[in-house]
Amino acid sequence: MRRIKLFASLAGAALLAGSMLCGAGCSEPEAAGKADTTLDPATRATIKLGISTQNQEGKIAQNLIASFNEKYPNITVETVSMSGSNTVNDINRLHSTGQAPDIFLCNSFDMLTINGMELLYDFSEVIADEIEAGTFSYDDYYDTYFRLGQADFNGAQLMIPRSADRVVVHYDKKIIKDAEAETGLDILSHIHNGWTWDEFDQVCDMLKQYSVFQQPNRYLVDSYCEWEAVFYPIFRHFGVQIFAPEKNGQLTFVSDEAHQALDFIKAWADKGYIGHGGVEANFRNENGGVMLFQSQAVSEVETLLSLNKYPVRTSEEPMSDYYDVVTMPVFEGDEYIGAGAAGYCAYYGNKNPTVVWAFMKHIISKEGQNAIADAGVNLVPVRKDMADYQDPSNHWGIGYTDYNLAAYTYEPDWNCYTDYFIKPGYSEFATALNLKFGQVIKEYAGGKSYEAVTGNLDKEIKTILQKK
Amino acid sequence: MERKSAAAAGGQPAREKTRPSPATRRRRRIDWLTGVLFALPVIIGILLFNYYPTVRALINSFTASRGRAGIEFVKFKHYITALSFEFEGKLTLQIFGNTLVYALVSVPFGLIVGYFLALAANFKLKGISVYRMLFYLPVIIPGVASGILFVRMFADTTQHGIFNQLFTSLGLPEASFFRSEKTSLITLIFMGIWSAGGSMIIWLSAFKNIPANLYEAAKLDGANSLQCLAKITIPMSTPLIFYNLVTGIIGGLQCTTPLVVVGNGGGAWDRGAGVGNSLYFVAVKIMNEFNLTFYEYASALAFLLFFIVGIFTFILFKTSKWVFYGEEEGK
Repeated sequence: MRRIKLFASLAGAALLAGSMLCGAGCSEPEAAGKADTTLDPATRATIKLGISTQNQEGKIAQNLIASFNEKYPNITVETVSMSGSNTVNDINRLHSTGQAPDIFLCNSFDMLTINGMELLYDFSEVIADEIEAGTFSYDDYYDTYFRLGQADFNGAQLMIPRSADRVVVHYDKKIIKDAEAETGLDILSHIHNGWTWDEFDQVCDMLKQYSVFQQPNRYLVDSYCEWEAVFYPIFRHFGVQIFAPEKNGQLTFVSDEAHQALDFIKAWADKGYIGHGGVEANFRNENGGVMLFQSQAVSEVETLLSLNKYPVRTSEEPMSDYYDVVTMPVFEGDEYIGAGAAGYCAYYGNKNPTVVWAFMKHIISKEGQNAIADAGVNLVPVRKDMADYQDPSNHWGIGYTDYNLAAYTYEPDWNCYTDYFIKPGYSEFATALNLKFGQVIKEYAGGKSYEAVTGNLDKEIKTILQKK
Repeated sequence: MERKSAAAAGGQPAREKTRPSPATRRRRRIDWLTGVLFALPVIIGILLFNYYPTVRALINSFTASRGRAGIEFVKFKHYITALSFEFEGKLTLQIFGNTLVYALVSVPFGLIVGYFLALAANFKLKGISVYRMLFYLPVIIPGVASGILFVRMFADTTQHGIFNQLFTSLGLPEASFFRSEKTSLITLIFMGIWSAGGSMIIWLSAFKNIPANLYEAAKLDGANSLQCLAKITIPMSTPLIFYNLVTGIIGGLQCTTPLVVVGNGGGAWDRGAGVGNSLYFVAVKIMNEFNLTFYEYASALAFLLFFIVGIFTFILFKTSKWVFYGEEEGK
């Protein structure tokens, strides 16, 4: 018995010590050095690429690797599966177990949070060298997306964007045509790139006259109004200041401007465009809504629609007769469209920064961007010289030339990104803060009073900042 | 030393402790080692998959991960955030309150319903095994499937909720079920009837283990059915009632059913929280905090829950004198 106790005690002590040692980061890797701008095509190396298991990410990664290997046949890129739903959790876990991939897929908010943990590699130096050598220019790319990959959206380059993700409105032409036939109204002509929120209201009001949308619980729009890419352009227009930089980041959200902005969104629910209580229009299912605010590629939405057997059409008819995309509505004279970025980050302790940079450069090259499109997802290229989707050398337009893909690249200066939490000590909470403000909007649109949704906001923000 | 004194006091000659021979000691050591080797896979499994995560979570609850900057020891910061009214204390109180009410009401309720089901299933009727199977069937249906089923059943009439359609067809007003703060928790507890077949099985096995001669003797003495129930069935079933209570309350305190029932209704902050946080349970909150990357805070909440579970288990064991374990020696 005494021996068993001794054995158990020793095991317990070892366990505790092991936990403490691992927790203290006993296997902390060295920070990767500076990357070279050139890489010998015959280089032999292996790097790990962390990819999401969601959507078509596996296929995109395989295509990128295959096209990269055409240039560098001796470099092995191993893929590491990550959940895709929580990159921050994944990277933190893989870092603490010493298994972080050299490169991983990330979005701009998670990037800020991970940067708060100092786990990201900074590409600024190698980019500066490339610019000096004349082999790279920021001007070749849409400014917004590279900015979204920078620390505090205006500093060290931590993420290389792989696509130009911008909010567009996916809309169901078939339902609108049916509504036009019944009501005799001209609705479709109001929907065009650069359309305004007034025109959006007119379209919705006309659609509400259609008998289908007079049924209870039939709504028009999947607005995703709690999504920062949708609400922030509206906040910007109304002059909402969420945190006051001059007051040490003090919350200044609760204001007349915020009330007006929230009322603007709530009006969609009041007028029956979206449902109260977070009920959306269910665009993707049969007999659902008409409009979907999304940054998704057309191919992804089309696949979802096809899976749901919607709309019913004969195979000879082009899908674009039934469904199309258009820019997000804007305020006339004060135009903002929400933009975000997904891209690839490198782990600060990556094993081979030169190879990592070569892979990153490949992603944003024309070949890399086409490799992504060839995976079957027509993500919008970050390169300005690939904007023409009618040009068959730009693969993202192949099969989708009938669509209004210009919606993704129309007036790129209108792009607006969520930068309200850019302040030391806040950006590492980017994901959480964004979700909190999204919740405020959803609850207000859902029918809660202004006082109820903002009354405890100060305390809630303080609590968020207290949780790490 | 003590033994020697006692022996001396009793006047008995102290038995000399004989040292085992080297061969015996070697054999014992081999036996011990063999035993340990056989048990080692289980020991390693328990250490790695039970104790290691527990110890790690406990350490986490006192730290803050700063990524590359390492881990900072923050003392009781996460516990203070959870319990202080300056931060999340009010919500924590509500969440723990919901969880306790659910555990303390649903478990006895489930036991009572299970008992009556067992009584019904214990009749000696033709085809009774079919009824038993039907009563038990819901238990083997996955929670996600039954959750979705109940969401549909409790929906309003526009969503074709079967209960509300029934009410309106009878001229009754619609019930709000999961759509109101006041009725959410009651509806969830009511949902528990669905899986009462689980405790029915345990009751049935308890009934079968009661010696028939006890009932025969009681009937000879003129006891009626109610007296048999009060004086024989219930006392003889107390070990199983106790077991059900302990495991049921622990399970109830760790319940995550609301995530399935109302999971899609909330955002990242309140997934599975229900209307006005009326269904927000501790385990659900822990999952939400973890998904928001506040792992250390989630660990602190987990240990608060662990503490509450410990207190309840302790109280249950300390007040378990009513449990009848048969005629014990010396009693």
